[in-house]
Amino acid sequence: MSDRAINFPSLVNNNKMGSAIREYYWAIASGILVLLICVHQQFPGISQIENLTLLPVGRWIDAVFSVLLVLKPVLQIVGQIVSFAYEQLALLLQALPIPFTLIALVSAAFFLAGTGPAVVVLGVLMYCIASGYWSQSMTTLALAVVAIVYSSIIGFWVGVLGHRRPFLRSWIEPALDVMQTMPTFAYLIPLLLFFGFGPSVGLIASVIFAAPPMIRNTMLGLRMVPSAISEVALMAGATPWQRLWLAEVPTARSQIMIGLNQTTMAAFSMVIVAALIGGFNDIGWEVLSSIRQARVGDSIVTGMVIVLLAVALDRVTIAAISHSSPTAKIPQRERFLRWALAILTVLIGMWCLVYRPEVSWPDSWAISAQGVDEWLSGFITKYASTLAEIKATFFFYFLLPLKIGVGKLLAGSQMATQQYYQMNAAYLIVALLGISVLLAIAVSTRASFWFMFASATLYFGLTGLPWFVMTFAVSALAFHLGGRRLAAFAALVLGFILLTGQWESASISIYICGAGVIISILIGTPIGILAAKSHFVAPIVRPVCDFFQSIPLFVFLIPVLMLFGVGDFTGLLAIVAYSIIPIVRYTEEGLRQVPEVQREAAIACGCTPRQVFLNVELPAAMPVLLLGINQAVLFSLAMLAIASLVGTAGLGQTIYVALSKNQPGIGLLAGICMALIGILADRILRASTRLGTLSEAN
Amino acid sequence: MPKLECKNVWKVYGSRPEAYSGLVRQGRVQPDDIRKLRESGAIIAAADVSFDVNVGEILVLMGLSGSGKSTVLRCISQLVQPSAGTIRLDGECLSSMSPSDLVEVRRHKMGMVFQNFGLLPHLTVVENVEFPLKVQRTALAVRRERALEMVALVGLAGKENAYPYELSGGQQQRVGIARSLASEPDLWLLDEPFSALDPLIRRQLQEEFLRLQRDLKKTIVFVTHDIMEALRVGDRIAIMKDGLIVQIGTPQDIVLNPVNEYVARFTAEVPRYRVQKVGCIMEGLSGDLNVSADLSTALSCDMAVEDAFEHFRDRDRVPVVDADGRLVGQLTASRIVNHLAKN
Repeated sequence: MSDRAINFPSLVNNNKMGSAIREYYWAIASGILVLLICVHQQFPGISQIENLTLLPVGRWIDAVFSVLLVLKPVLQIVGQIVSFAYEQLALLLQALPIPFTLIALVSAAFFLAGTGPAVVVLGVLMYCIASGYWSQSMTTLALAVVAIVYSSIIGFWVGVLGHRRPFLRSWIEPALDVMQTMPTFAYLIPLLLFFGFGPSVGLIASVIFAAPPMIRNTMLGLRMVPSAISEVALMAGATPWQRLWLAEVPTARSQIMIGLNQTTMAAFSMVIVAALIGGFNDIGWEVLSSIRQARVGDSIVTGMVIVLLAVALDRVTIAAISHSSPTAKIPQRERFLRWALAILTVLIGMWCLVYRPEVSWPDSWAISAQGVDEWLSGFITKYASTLAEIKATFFFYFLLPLKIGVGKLLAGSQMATQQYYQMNAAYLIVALLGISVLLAIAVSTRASFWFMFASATLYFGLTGLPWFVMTFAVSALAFHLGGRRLAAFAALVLGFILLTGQWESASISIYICGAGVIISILIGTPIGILAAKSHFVAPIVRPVCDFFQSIPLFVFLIPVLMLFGVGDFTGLLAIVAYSIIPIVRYTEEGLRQVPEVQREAAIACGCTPRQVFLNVELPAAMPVLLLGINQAVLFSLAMLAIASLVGTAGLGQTIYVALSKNQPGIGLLAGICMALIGILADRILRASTRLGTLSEAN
Repeated sequence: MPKLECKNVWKVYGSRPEAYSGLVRQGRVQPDDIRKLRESGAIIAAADVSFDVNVGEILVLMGLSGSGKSTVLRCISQLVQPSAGTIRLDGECLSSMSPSDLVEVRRHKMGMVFQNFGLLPHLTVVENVEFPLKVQRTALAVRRERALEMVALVGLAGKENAYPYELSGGQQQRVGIARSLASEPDLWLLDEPFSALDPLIRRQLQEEFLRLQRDLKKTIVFVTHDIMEALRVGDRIAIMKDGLIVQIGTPQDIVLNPVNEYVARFTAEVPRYRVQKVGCIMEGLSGDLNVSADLSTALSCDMAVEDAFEHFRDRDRVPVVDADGRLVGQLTASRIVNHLAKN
């Protein structure tokens, strides 16, 4: 019955009405674009942001906060309650003898997740001991465990509430978007103001950052429970509570467990970042201080601790999904091993209690940072010139044109006069117009519009592109893909960024992220295609992706920083390294999802393998590919915020500076701008996938 | 008093409930009215549905998908709140019950079988069967015993500790049947219970269902889209189209006296002798009738003509008796042949 609820007639009407505009849409848009560029050339003053009246939103936020600070005493009590559990757990983990903690954690992993993950946990903990960072690792573990427990409990209940009360869901979903796209630094500042320095800030920030995946997956899991299951429970006479606990939650279990895994990884990642606002003898702090003091070897050794802890958490929570499922059949051998491990744990515990052993680790086993240091500095000095050359080439031929534009670059900033630059532009406009008209006749008006926009971008550079040209192009795209509402949203977002004075930093952010995503697409798509096509590549690519995705963002910076120093290029590399993961994953996934029937039909029609790929597989996989790009944009924004640590300019840096200067208003404002850019990109890309699937269906 | 009474039940989705409330008061609703209502934007799943089900009777709701048969069933179980009309079980109105009373009714008086089985994936066979008792907080020993009994009843002994994913479709639906019977309901609701199964298994389960019903004598509402299934299991059949009941009657009525073209098309493929009773085509008692006195091999007059065929293997006339065993007439082979030829 429900399919009749869709209002088909109105959809059809809309299309009829819009078809007249749509026919000439891109031609009109191209006309306006040319006009805007001419306006910019004729009256350069208009595009100067300094001439606009800006809204001091940052100061308004500060004012609100100064009022809210009345709440500080109350919130500090809350903070103490929050950090109480962490302090107790940290004390316990520090006090317990190492052998006991080791065997207890390995046994726990074995119970929850089986043999493989238990071995991984054992290896990771051995590394922690060998590297000499056991105590810091335990502090981090305590922080992470408490953050995970809080965020998964809160996330679960919010998810259940959102499932049960549909009107709440419409509030929860946008809130989640903001929580996940807002850079964490941005809300660290107000949290610091309210809660003061201490672990509670890190914990609360972790909950804000890590609860959303749990909420989403809980809602998704409960929504996917077949309606028959809920009806069965109702017909058996279950109360609402019994229905939830006995029928729906167990049925949604694996989806909720996926949420738990994602929440675990997010919480762990955030716990590491939170070290930035003050260390508590944890491993994040160790990494940060070794980076700051340029102790390369140490930063690698400690970075490895983080990576390995992340891998262990990931393995255990992933394997637990199937291993501790109630329907899993546990072999006899494993039952026996469980008992053996439990007894061993108790015995070692008792032995530790009685003898209080001092664990002495043989020095020869210990992993020394010095060796790593020497080897690395040797490598870097040896290849210094090559590395510098790579960086310079890349910077000059790719990044700089994108940033400041070919126009300025070719003119040469010292010798060219303003007139020369202007004249160049005039020629360019004429030339472009010619090519665009040709394109419009030969291909389509849409192609000519995008050609014109792309050339304007390349000529003026992303940071030099007048704000009205940018706003118009994005809104035109939004209108084409998502109609009036999306276009209005796009104009509002860009208008907000402009009027709050964040345009310049935002355009730098867009430039770096855009460059990063483009490179990711160029490199990642072929890898994804290879992984989908080849039986040899997939088993290599998948674990690598898993591995990279489980690492906290922070760690990506260590190797690129060492090789290329601070600057845009380093930030870009970190962004590419991180945002390439979803591209590879979704490309492979999308191509694998193409139904075999379609492929067979194409082959039966006489397609060559190349034709099958281009005409059948690629179009069918397109929606998934676009989703991957969508994810890559969000990933790149997340990385951008962290990359500001290595001197990348833009909104990330604004936030970071605000953090060090304790200015919550500006920091939050920049954070909101980044979140808005992320959400806008997400909406536009999603609209394009919807359009893609619609036209396919028609 | 009928066990279950549905009176003028409506289920309308979408806005503007006032549009059909006039029709509700009017009484008899014509298909034209429904069409007009639909054009005004209302989504009508069930329109003015009325029927009674007596104790021990099987009423089949038959119709194509989207005809509203499942909606009516869900209205009876109150999984869907009817927009108008009353549903009475044992004389008690279900739609005006408080939620807690409804829970009690569902725990003790209703059992339901679902098309896609609706087994809880995390529970074993026996745990699934005892689920209705578990939510009533019955002691483990008691409910386990009862559940094992039910598992045996549906022929799954030995599979008690399997998980649903280890069972075939037919076995899964046996679990669904056992579960719906675990709390000994009076009213048994079956929503296309065998539609998801392949034809051989479907036939087998239909026979077992009838065997169970001979012992249990539940009051049953059975939803199906398969006319053969409806004819096989139903005491009475209600044929639905676009939310309305088009015709309600015994299988014989439906096949022999379809009220309109729509019903006739449904039953076009059904051989008449499958539903026609011996009593309808026999020669009644009259002067010149020469019937042998031996009634031990006589046909019963409610027997389907199809089942009478084998009695004519070695003779060409057989006496017919009524339910009390009194001689009422006779059937001859030539009469059957004549009758078949007429159809």
